[in-house]
Amino acid sequence: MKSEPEIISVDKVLIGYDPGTVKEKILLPAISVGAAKGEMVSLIGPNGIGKSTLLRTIAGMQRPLGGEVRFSGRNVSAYSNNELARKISFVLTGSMVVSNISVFELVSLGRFPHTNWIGHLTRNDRYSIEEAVASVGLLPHMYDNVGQLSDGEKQRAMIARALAQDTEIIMLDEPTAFLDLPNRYELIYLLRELSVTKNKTVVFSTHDIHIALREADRIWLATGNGIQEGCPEDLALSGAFDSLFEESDLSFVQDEGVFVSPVRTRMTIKLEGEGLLLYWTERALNRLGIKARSDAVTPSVSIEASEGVAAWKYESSVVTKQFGDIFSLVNYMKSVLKGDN
Amino acid sequence: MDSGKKVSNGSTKSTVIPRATIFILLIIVLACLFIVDILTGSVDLGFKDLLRSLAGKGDTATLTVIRDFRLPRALTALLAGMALSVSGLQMQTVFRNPLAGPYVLGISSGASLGVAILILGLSSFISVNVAIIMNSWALVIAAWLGAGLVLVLIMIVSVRVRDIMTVLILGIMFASAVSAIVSIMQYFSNESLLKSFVIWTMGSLGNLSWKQLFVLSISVLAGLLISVITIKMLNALLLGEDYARSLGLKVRSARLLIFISTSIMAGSVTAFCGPLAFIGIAVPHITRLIFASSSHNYLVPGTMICGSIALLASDIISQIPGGGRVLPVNSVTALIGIPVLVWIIIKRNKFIRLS
Repeated sequence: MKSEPEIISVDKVLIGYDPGTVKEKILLPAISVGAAKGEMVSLIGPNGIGKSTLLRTIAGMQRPLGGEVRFSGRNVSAYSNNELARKISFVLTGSMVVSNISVFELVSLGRFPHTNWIGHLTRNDRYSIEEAVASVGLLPHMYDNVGQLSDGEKQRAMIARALAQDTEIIMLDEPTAFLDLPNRYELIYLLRELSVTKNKTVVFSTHDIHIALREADRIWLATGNGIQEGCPEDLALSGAFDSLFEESDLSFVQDEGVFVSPVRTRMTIKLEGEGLLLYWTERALNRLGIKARSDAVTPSVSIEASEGVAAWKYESSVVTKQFGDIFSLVNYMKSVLKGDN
Repeated sequence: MDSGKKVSNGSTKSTVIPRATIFILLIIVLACLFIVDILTGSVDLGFKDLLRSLAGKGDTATLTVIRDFRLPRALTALLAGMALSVSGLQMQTVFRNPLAGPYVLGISSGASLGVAILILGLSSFISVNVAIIMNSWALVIAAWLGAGLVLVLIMIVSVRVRDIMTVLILGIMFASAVSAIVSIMQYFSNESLLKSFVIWTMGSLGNLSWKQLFVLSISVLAGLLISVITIKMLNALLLGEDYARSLGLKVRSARLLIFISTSIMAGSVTAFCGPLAFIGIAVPHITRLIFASSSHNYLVPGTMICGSIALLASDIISQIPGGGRVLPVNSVTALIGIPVLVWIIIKRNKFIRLS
């Protein structure tokens, strides 16, 4: 396994602030994680746990308070500024402040470690820039001002800048933070694409846990006890995600791979039906605190589908009701729970 | 891809005036103003007089006026305009602050302190002719020393402090402290000395001998040379210091180099011409509007030309009263520059983003 050093290896690293002073603050127990070439790694964890600090420490923008970070087996502090900039590029959190330059000019900043003293762009540099812009799908906006782009496009332009830097590792701090849902998915898919087609090691922190669990090759899971790593599926099976939101009521549903807020069970029923109709009906009822149990007899909800038309039937010891959609079923069930019927 | 959904402005490149054309137009304007500046002054000169003098056929009086007064003054305006505007641009980018200018590091306060010590301090003890001091090397050196003192303080701070905002705040604090000392000196000095000092603070382009002009040119050219070297660094700094660092820029050395460039230029201009306000803050903004870009590849050469244009225009306007009377350049730059900027802001409905 360990024949070739991993591209990122974080070895018993301590992260925090103000080393060597009385205010010294270490955020997490010693961290040992790694990443392989071409892997997509997602760092998840609650706010304020030190995700940004960890990424900045790995990227060499901040010194570790202990332990060492190695890229391809070589200590980060042994890299010169320029060597480091050719090894790892960074997309910082927050919206972009620059607006008055074109996409081309923005992306060309990524060539900084490769160009001469005045920043002259060779044909090779121009080729890299164009390729980077193309791979994030912004070629039609090449000469537009960055300020005219949508938020999703801006973030993609920043990623193109990182791509133009031509590094093996791309690190992104909360790249999806300011995006709407479709843009979040698109961005994560773009990162996935880059890790697969360009063999980039992509490390990003995110709050979009559900996307991360689906798309990342490896998860760095930050909790108060330190950082656990593993592929998302192994972590899910081991119950590691339960510790993620210890202080809240959220719990991880292993068989669905999602976090849910628990609802007190207020009623148990018998639920009959199949397929998608059963799944979505159960979800709606769960929201009300109504749980389906196989050993329950009454009351019961049965779903009948014939010729593409579905009908929901509620039966209790006193009434029988028919509904044409889940919404009316749910509204009726609410009144049942209140004791009106 | 959602790129198709948005109205594409992909054609803007062809509709905008090419930047090479803008440069050529600006250089033509600059050349015209330079000639007009030589022709304006207390003695009326025509374009023919200028041509005749250049050909060596003019009368000696005209030749003397042009050679000893007009040409040095126009060249001073040219150099000072360039130097202050480029310094202002550098400071606005480094501090990421649209209100920064060449004097944000406290250079003008430092120079004022030097001059105040010379005019208000020394002259109170030793009886010397203040009028002689006003045109002397002593004044220049005093201003330089004062600016240098503040500069060294700023350098020490900027090497030790990581956060650029802290450097800015400390710079402003230094400047205020130094100004306070100058105020105290003004309060205790006699009227005639005070007037001499106040006149110095109003700025002047016309007091330079050829020797002084030579020293000014060397300093300004050195500063401009460094500023060309810093173009790449300034571009990297557009995204902020964290990004610049991640691009491999040694941020503190870059900061130091840029400060040195600004100090050489702003310090020298202040030493020879007094603290010329406003140009350094306004011209970079005007240049950004003209070039519609924040890229320093255009902005550094662009502010050089626009700075010279602005100061030459101000100098021409300051000669309007005629009959040997000249308005203080400082007042002219402000009175002309502010309406221009206000007009631009209202027309564009917003101040163009710094970066």
